[in-house]
Amino acid sequence: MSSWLHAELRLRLGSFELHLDLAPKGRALGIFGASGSGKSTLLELLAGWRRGTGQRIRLGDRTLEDASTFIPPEQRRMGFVPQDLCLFPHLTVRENLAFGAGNTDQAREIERIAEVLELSSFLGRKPHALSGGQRQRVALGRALASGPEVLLLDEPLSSLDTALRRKLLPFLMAVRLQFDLPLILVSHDALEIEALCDEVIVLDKGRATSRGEPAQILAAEAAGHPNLLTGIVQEQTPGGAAVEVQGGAHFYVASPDLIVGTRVLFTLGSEDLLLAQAPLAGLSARTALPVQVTRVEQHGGLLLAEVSCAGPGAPKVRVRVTPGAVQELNLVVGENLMLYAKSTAARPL
Amino acid sequence: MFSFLQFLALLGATLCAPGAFASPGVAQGPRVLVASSLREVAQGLDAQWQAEGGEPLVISTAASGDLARQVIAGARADLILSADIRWMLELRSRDLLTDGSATVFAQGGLCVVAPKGAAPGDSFRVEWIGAGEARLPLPSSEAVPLGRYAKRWLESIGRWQAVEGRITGVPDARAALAAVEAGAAPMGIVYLADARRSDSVEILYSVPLDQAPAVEAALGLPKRNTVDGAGTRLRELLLLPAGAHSIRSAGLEPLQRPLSGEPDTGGAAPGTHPSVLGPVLWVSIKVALAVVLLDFFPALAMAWLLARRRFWGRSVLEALVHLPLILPPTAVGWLLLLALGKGGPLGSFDLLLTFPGAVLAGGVVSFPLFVRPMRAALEGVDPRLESMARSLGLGPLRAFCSVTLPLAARGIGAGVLLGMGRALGEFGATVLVAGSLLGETRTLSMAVFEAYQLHDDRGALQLVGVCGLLAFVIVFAADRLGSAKPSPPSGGTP
Repeated sequence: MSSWLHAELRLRLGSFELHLDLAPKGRALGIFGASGSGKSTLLELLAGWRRGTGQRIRLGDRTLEDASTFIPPEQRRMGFVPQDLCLFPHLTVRENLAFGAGNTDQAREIERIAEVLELSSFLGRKPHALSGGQRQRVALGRALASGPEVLLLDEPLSSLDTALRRKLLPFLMAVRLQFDLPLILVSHDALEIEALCDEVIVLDKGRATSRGEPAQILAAEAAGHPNLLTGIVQEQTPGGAAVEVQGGAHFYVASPDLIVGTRVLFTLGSEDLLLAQAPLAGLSARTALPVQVTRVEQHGGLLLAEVSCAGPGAPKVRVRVTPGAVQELNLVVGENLMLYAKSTAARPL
Repeated sequence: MFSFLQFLALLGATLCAPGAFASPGVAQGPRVLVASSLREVAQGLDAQWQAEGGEPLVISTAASGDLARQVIAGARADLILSADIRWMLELRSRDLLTDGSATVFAQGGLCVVAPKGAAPGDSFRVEWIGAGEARLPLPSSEAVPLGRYAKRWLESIGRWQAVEGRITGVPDARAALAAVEAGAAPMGIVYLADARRSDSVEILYSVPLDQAPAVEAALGLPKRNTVDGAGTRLRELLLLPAGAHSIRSAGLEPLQRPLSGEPDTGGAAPGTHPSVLGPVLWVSIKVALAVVLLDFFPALAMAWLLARRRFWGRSVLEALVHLPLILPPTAVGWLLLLALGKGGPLGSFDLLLTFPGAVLAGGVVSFPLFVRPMRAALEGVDPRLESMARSLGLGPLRAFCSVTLPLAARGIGAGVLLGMGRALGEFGATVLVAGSLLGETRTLSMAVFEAYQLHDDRGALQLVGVCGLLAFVIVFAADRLGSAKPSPPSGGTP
């Protein structure tokens, strides 16, 4: 199996022991875990900020660390954005960005980064004069400007409030899209991982407890984990903004400030959704979509039905149901149903 | 178990015990003020006095001029033994001595010495003195008797002009001998009495008594005494035939002559000294700047080591670094003298009584003052910032220079200022190692001491004023740098 990264991370710190093997299948790997699970330590091990105890790291065809090798941080080409950001307080935003950009090619790259991350209007300011979201973007831009082979992101959004998070998430997605860098994202926030990663490892006390596709794993890990969907705003209607997801289905999101033509991420709580056997009339729900049941499963005390919207590449949505409903609606895989949601159940990020 | 509290209690009990601060189990005897070169005379006298059943003498040793000034200032003493007739005349003219007590009691001569084993093979010729590049260690020819006697002798044989420019100033007769003993000078002029007692020098030439004015020692009984009658009896003991033994053991010849003449304490009258402020200030600034050059990088490296590295023996190293802060500067000077002297590990560099020697002494003494603020400043910079700089592609040294150094700049600046200030005021270690040579090693602090010795109050005031101004500027600037607000945090959490 070929992967851009092969890492056997090993660290013993007092009673804490980290023991984790990484070989990401996709381009973006999420590490999900509560605080104290060793998430941040893991990134520091990868970046070479700490020395592991008998670990091996290979990035592409370069050996970064093994029994006889320790490549120092300056030669690892890891674009690290730690949770505390580590912006240089004595330098302006421009100087921070240019810090790791040695040659002129990268100088031109800085222009592009500043543009993508919308930093151009405050390049002359110092970090203490920036808002939290601006600082996040500067740290991200600085990591990108150093020409890294990998991005390491430690809780890039979870320290921010919802409004800021909503502003910043598109930047991260744009970074994924435009810079096409392999990514490791560490977070205790399931949404963040689901929005950005195509694989997730759940870390607990330094060990992986499960790994796989984010939506599935995280639904199992985080009780009440909402559905995460993305699409393009089509039009503003009195009942909410119509957002077209992949496959052509329209979801209505009650948010008057969404701009037509932009991409939006929104959540749908699994308990806020309705399933019906036949189309209903006279309902206050704005979103009404034909769906097909793809799975019914039990997570803890919860019964979840996974349904798929129509169309190629259409997203899947989990709906919380009761055992009675399973019987009444004949919830078996392959069954065609209608999905209903109020536009207020869809919350944009 | 022996607890810390028990230890404190025991310590307290010991210190509070009667007589804890006196010599063990002894009441206090008469006080005798003795010129450094006459110490052995006083010790012999003490033995005689105790043989008669007297309490041991309290002997205080200093330069003759200093002793006289103490008496002028009102200090009580039962007997004063001075190597400087002029100061004894001064005391008598101020009516501080009991009538008729002032007596010349001994005389001695000068000699030329060389370090043991380093004496030239030929028989001595006076032309050797001051020949070549060699320095001649000699105390002030104005303030200290040895300097005055040596000058008169050299003048009488026509060598003073040749020698004058070669003189390296030392504080007193003992220091002149010590300089030769340590091998810092190939030759010296010292008291014959001192030279005879030294194992480390060879006497090349004894100056005939008819060639040089006799070196005379005088005694006097201060009116303000501590034990009535003791002074009179001590004087009798010294002037009796038995006392001659003490005098001879000090390398002097007994003599008995009433003190005569008028006080003439050299150019000690205020305001008659040419100002030395210019060269002294220049030397001080040169020393201070050179100390900064010498100490900056080692201090920064040490500060970094203590701030950023955890290693075995770190606390021991830390204590060693701070030692010069607590150790008396004279102790540091003495250790340096051992290291730099002939046969010492650094003896081959020939740094004694030179400007580089002064810089070295100042550098050692002020090192901890460089290190402390630098270390605090480095500890104040988040090491993660340096890690980040490295992840962005900078090597360890460049990361340090472009992140940690600028962020710690104010504290490092404060360290430089404090260390420089300490170097400016340094006296004890420097005077032992580098002497006090005008235009080369005589700094402000040494000039103040010199002015005090010469009774030059106007000069001292001028120097102290300049020192005060410099000190204020430095402390003020260091404080401004040190108390500056730390940089705002760089984290992402608003």
